[in-house]
Amino acid sequence: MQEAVAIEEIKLPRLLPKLTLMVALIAVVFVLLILDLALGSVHIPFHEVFNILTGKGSENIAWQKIVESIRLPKAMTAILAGIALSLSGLQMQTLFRNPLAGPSVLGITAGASLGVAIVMLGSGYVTTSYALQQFGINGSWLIITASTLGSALIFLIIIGVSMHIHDNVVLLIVGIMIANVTIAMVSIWQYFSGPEQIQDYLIWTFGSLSGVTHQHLKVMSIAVSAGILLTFLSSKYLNLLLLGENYARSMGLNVRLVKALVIFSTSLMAGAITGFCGPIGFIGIAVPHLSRSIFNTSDHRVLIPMSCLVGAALMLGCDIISQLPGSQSMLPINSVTSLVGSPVVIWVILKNRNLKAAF
Amino acid sequence: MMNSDNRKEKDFKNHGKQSLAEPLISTQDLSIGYRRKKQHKVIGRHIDLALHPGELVCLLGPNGSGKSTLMRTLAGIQPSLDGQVFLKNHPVTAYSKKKLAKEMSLVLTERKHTGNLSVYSILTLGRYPYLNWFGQLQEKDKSIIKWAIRETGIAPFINSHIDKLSDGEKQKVMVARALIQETPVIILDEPTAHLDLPNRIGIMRLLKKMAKDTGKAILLSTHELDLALQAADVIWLMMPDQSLVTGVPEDLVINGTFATAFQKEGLKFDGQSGTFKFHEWDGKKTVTLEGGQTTRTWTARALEREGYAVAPGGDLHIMIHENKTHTRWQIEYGGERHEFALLEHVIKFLRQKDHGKLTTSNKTNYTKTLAWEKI
Repeated sequence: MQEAVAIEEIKLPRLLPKLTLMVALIAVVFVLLILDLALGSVHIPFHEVFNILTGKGSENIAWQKIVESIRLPKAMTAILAGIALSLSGLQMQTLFRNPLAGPSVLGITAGASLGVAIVMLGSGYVTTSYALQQFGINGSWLIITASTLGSALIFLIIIGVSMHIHDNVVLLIVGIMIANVTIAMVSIWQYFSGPEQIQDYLIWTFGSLSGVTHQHLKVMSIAVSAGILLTFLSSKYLNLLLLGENYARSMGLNVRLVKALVIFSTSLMAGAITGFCGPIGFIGIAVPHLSRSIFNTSDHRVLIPMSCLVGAALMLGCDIISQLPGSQSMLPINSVTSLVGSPVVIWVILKNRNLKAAF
Repeated sequence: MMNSDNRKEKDFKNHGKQSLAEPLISTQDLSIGYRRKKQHKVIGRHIDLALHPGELVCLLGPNGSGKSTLMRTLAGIQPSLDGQVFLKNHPVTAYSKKKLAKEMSLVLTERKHTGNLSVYSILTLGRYPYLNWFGQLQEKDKSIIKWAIRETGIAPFINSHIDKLSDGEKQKVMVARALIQETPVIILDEPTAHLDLPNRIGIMRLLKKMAKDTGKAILLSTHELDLALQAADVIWLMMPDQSLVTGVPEDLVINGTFATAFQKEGLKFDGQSGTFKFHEWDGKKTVTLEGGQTTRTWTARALEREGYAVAPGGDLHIMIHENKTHTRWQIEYGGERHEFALLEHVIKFLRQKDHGKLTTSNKTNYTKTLAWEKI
């Protein structure tokens, strides 16, 4: 018999990702953050940015003002949005066992838009980032609640459908249909609004990271942090789900509770970001695939922290591009994420031949 | 060091040893099936069974006889229609999910891709019922994982990704995961399906060894009749009348339960060989065999394929002469004695005889064979 091997001789591998890759990613995020603060319509030297960040201040008060009250909140929003959307996408892909799931694909962001539209139009305001800024701290909570509830509503509908239909493709189609219905409802609402409001709404749908003020940022970071915390706590549950629901149950997992947890944290994160920044597509679907192919694993203990870093980096990168450094104008962030995100998804598909293998 | 090894291993092997007589799982007058809106679709009724520690139990039955339903009911996944399943004398439905996960582990047939997880990641999932909120593996968790890796022999690929493994290796990983869950009962749904013969035997051997060494009760469903007959301590047989017969495999063969269980399919179970008769005898041709030992069995098989039944006093008489170097088949027919060196030629002769085209060709056969032997 092969009894020769002693138990002590068996070496167990480590579960954590490679330290070098992790450090490199953190460095990339940091470099992109500095770049994001330095580049734009006004170029600010890197060492000045560094001084402002470390609290030494800059001699040029204009620079200090630009960094502190405009670019830093925007960069922070970009990081939060990157993390929130990536984690939402990752959780949805695992929950639905579907490589194409993501907050924008399955209509979660559309649900958030609906929530925002109901609050804005229902209370006589216009859905613009300008109008959003007029809300005080109570208003921000109202927006977050509305957009989260809107997301959760759509999520619940999708979950309900997924219990009856186990076909991934069918579920995807249903999700897109529900998203379309939601968007149509908002459009009808817009149709009966004035032309200025239509224009404002269109601008909102382009997405904007710069409309987020200090006060919004506070509310948003609390909501997103809660979502991130919940996601980290559910990493081991999500791993069990990778084996299929029946296996997960047999190992003592309360699948219903985990589903509720995922719905809550995903709606909270995607809802908060969409409410303040408008619908931002593609980050949610692209980042999890990108992280999977970089770290070659579906283990959520690795994927969750790494998706945070990749998401933050990608979103900062998109923000830098959208500022069109050196020019006075800005591109809508939603177009930039799609421009960057779609090739990423295609690259992942081509690299792995099919998404299922990478999933 | 040897001492500490033993102590550690004993920890994993103590399941059930203390009460060999007490069944881990038992049922009384259990009915299984599906609840429809208006009526119940009963698949099995009056099921009394007991699963004892240290036993390897094979659940057999034709397709659609309700093997999976019974296993799902025993595992508490599917509610019973009537009667109760008892796990350690408590109704299985009364267990919380977390508690049940410490008593019973499952290996399912789900063969959809399990994600890009490394084998080790999957193994660590088996410890889930024992982990704290943060999911940190303790030394005890690690040592049981190491033990399971050694027992199942999967050490060479614990770093590989599950998608890259062969079906046999995958199944071993899933068995290891169930062992790591450290439960007195392991239930496996067709663990040998999709595997080639060496892997099928490998898995069965592993399970048999685990049942014997660890005192775990292992229940598996399978279609591998001969493998089950050899490996199982107890066989549970789903009968055509929706009942379940349990017993030691040999008892079930001797008392003809096997034969009745698969009768529905129009199959004849051969009590002698423990297999199903592939060829149906049309009741016409009989043959008597004489001599030989192993050769006799194989000759009988060849003749059965040709539509003969081997019986004493048959229409045809075949003598088998064997010595160290060669085997000869002698047939007395039509006052002549024909001799053959290969079964191939016996069969050819028999076919020609049936078609009434018996000429001297058998002679050619004989000479041809001699020529072949010279080479």
